[in-house]
Amino acid sequence: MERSPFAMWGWLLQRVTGVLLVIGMFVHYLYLHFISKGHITFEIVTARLNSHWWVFFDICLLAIIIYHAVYGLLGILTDCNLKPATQKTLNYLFGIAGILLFFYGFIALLTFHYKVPVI
Amino acid sequence: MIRKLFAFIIEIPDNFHLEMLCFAGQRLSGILLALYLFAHIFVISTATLWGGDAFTAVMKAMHHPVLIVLEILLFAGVVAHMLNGIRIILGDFFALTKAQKSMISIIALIGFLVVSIGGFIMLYNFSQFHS
Repeated sequence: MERSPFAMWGWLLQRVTGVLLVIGMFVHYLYLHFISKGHITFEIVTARLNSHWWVFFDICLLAIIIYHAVYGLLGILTDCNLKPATQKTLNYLFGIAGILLFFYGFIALLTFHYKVPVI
Repeated sequence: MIRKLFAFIIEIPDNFHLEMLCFAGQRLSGILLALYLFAHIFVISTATLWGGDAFTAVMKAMHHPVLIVLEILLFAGVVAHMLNGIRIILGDFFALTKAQKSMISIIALIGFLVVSIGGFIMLYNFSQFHS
């Protein structure tokens, strides 16, 4: 089977996103469970996401974690030694699912920034 | 196909050692965390689908004793996946394969401390919310 040029970069990116998630999840947990004390309401979240920096942080965290999760799940299926055609279909399917999930989460995030649904 | 999918659990006794358990744990926690992520994004999107009040109501419902226990288990899963991931990266990029066993001991100790402190904070927040 001809190896996709994405194979090595995909693997490397899984490591890079992993390291970034260590930092991202640390901030995420520290803020929501230690500073906010686990008390979350719509008003509290909109107050935080009024800041462009927090919106930027959450968008980055969303994109990074979706890549890490989708690539991780795809990797488990890749370990099953599927037929090349099936594998290729799955690669595209997971890629598209990841992008759709990102936009779904992105729209949800913007709801807290603008205080009303954007769609 | 299904057998291959669960081979990482089924084949543990065939090649039983600590690193194998870490591999299976990383894979199992990864699957569970990915499933949690999808549920998490959906729960957050209640604000978009049904408005801010619905979001606040859902968040309030999360302060349920059973869910707090699950939340601590989730935190333990995140910490375990994270520390084991760091161990894998250190092993891969810094040729530390021979130090694997000692690295596992170190991450187990760090993980125990972090989950204890984090779990305590979550239980404390929970007790404050209900008092």
